[in-house]
Amino acid sequence: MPPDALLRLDGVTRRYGDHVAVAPTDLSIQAGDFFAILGPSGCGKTTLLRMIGGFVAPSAGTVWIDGADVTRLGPERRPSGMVFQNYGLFQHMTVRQNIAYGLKLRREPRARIDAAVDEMMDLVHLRHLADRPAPQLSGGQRQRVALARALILKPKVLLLDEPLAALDLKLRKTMHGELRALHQAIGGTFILVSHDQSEVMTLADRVAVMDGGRIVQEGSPRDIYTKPADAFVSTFIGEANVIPGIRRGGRIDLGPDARLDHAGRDGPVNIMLRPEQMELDPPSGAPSLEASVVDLIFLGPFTHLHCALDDGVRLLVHLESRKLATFPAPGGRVRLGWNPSEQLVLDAP
Amino acid sequence: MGDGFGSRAFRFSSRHVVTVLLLAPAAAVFFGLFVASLSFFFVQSFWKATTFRVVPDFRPFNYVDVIAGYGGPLLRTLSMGLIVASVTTMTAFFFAYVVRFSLGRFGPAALLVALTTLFGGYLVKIYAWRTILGADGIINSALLNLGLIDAPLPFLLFNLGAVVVTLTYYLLPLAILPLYGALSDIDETELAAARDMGAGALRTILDIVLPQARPALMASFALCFLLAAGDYVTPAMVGSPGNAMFGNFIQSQFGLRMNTPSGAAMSFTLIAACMIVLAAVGSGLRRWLQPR
Amino acid sequence: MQSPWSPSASLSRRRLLQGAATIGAVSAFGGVARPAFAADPKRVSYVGWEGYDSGFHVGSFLADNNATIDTTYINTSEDMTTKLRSGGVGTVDLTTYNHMYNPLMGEAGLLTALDVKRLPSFDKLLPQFKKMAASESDGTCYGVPFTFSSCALLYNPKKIPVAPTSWKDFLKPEYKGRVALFSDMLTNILVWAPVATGVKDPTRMNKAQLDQTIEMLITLKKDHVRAMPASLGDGAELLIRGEADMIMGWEPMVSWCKAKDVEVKIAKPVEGTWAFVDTFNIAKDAPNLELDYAFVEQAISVEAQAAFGNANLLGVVNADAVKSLTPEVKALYDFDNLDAYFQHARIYPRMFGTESDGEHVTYDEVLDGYERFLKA
Ligand SMILES: Nc1ncnc2c1ncn2[C@@H]1O[C@H](COP(=O)(O)OP(=O)(O)OP(=O)(O)O)[C@@H](O)[C@H]1O
Ligand SMILES: [Mg+2]
Repeated sequence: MPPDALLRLDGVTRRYGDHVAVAPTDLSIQAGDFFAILGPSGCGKTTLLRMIGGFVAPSAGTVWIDGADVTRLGPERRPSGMVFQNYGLFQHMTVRQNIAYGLKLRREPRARIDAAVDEMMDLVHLRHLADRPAPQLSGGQRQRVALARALILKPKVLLLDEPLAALDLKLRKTMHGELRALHQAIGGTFILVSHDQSEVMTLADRVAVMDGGRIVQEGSPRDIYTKPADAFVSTFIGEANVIPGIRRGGRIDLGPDARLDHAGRDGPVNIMLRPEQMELDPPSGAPSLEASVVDLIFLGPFTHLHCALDDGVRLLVHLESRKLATFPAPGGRVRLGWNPSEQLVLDAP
Repeated sequence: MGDGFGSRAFRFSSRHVVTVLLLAPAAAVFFGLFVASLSFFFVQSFWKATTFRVVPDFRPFNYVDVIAGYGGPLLRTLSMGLIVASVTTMTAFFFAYVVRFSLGRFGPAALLVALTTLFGGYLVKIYAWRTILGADGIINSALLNLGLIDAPLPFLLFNLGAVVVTLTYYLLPLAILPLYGALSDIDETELAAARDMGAGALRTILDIVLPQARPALMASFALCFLLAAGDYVTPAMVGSPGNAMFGNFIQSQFGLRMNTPSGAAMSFTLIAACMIVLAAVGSGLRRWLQPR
Repeated sequence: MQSPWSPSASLSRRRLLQGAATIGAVSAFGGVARPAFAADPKRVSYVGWEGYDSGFHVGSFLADNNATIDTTYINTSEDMTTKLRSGGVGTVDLTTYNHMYNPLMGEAGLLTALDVKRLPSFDKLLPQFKKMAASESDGTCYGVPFTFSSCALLYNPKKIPVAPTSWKDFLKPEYKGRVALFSDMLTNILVWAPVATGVKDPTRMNKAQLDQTIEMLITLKKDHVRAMPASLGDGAELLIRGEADMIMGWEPMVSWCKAKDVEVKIAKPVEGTWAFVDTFNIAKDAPNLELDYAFVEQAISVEAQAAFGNANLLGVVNADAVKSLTPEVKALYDFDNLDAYFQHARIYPRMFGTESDGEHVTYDEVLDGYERFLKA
């Protein structure tokens, strides 16, 4: 294992009966990373995170944290801290008592605990709510208590299981900012589970995309956005147009009047294009397709054009409003093209 | 709806009428049977009894006589109630805890099994335990057959231990129900969070589960305590010979002696003593389980 | 204390488990009203032991008299007094006091003085009972004897090979933890007072004798007794299960135990024992006085007596009914030599006094003493 990897999973697996919730998984996370695990519901994210935290025992494999094998240790003996999907605040305690609980277990002196709790409450803007009982807090306040409660123990790894899923969009945006600031201020290692790709894009500096119990791609958000490993990843991270075609002898046939040169094995392929990579009325020579306009949504600086190819494939095009001389009308025909250097050709499964 | 003020007013008042009607039977039973008869006995507890006859009077000394004459049985009864209630509540708590947090999908089945012990009469259960603990009972027969003993152990039956076992068995399902209800309301995530912060299993129970189950603990404890302290049949049947409970003496006052004033004074003394014990247990629990 | 001697427990011998219900919280006043089945029959109100009313259902007695019976079964004798005192006088017809209570209750104005000439079967009563009815309460009869039995010393001959000869055998070290008392106040006092003090009539004992009796009871309870069964059925259970080998028992238990294949014998302790004689009384101002006489007559009639004695294994008072008893019952009560039976099982004429006469203990003092025993 590389000397600087703080967390490493070696073939970590979890089965429930015949069902494989997490297939054998290897993963290394460096100290200081803000790492995100992204994937659709039921893909095994929580299970993976809980195996790191010690709440679920792996069926096979080893979990290393900071060079030590912690596979057999319970959560109380791991240097990790967890913020749960539904927070799990101690309902019979106040904000202050919730945050102080971990330090009290460590039997730290009273004065030190008080000072640390005050500092932590300041950090997450909860000072004014110190003596409010947990059940009387709003969603965002709960989330911050849960965060403070875990952070005060200075965990080597902070595990966050969809901590913002229960919040409304606006609050989520605010919390994104706070989380980023916290990560920068504390400098710890965060592992965030999410199925919201925009959240991951905003927060994480590394991402693992999971599907069906396995990690299908790992890298920086930009890598994954620009070079998705397959069609699933491309549609899961950001929006993508997937145009099916057939390759024969170095040429891909996309329709009656659209073909382009591309070397590779014969067979079905998908061409993946982000909405902003397509344009209206492309220069001659560029690959293009004819489509009919289904809908047009004007969003100020941008205009979203929803189109359909004659064989029914839907396409979404993001256009800069100021570059449009005329707005195509729904029902009309348009020609959509792209720069072949931006296209991503993936062999269809 | 929407017919303006009149219909709205009508809806309000009809709802009140319904509330009153729904409460009426309970209120009638409570005041008619409970409050009325209790206040009658309370007044009588100050009267004077002569041979088989009761004369209105004001004798607070009735209460002094009760304490002076029956302090011993009262203490014995209260201690028995305390032991039974403590044992039962603790057992019930651990059972409910395991059903709720450890047994997973087998939990409901285990709960159901525990609740089936509610079936069967009170006396049948007492006799069942006599059969189990007796000289020719299951335990002694088993030990004899295994050759571990060569004469039946006499100390299994007719002592305080047998009373505690029998009453605990009888009260256990009653104590489990409120506790299981309370534990169902506790989010498992809280337990996981406590573990995550470094608390072991026992610490988690003490710091997280018990404080939140405190009202139910108190309810179970009070239920068991009151039933055990008021019981004199089980002690008479499986307890130490002639170890009369306070209830026996109350019954004797009303029955053999026809001394309603003294019987009433004893009843109220028992009620007051029970309330004091429960208040003390309640505040002790509160203090012990307070988050620090 | 409930009276475990209550025949209500004994009569339900097929329901040993329920026998203990006598000491449960069962209300004494949950009377079961039988529905009327004839046109306007007279309703006779009976407040007494369960089973003692069975004689009224022998033959066509109720139909012949166009009567029905409203029964209120009791758990202790005191239940009858409570009922009579709380509005029962004027509504209750019949009660079944132990004969010792009759003078007291009669003098307190709760019972009607009976004219025994109106009871044709009275002449057929065994002499002991005829004398009792006539002599108690200065010649006024407040109750007609109806059945008898006694507190017998029962033992299991397999475990106790030599028949006990004295109640004091309860105190022998070899029987420690193998004997059982009963939890009835009157029985314990009346049986143990002669043992502890040699007093002839324990209802006329002095304070020192009472104290001696209580001391002996406390010693028994603390050091020798395995259990104090809560009811008669419970007592038989102790013998059947081998929890106790020698108990203060009751004649019918011999047969109950035999039914469970446990042989139990009756010993004759030198100190003797106490005989229970229960009577039928007509309450003061009974609403159906004429009819009530017919009921009492029926209860002591030959047919009703024989049926009752055989069904419940209890002693009968009608001399003509003795012939119809089974050998089993005849043997239990030694009907061939009844005088010897009553020489051993003594009949005491009346209860402890209610007011102090300066010499003998009062009822209240006895109760206080007994409570001391219970608290010890
Ligand atoms: N205790 C369990 N017993 C059986 N199956 C389980 C258990 N826990 C999880 N699973 C299954 O394992 C799979 C992965 O579950 P997991 O909770 O890890 O999903 P997730 O990615 O966190 O989903 P979500 O985004 O909805 O929270 C699911 O199919 C789930 O049904
Ligand atoms: Mg999840």
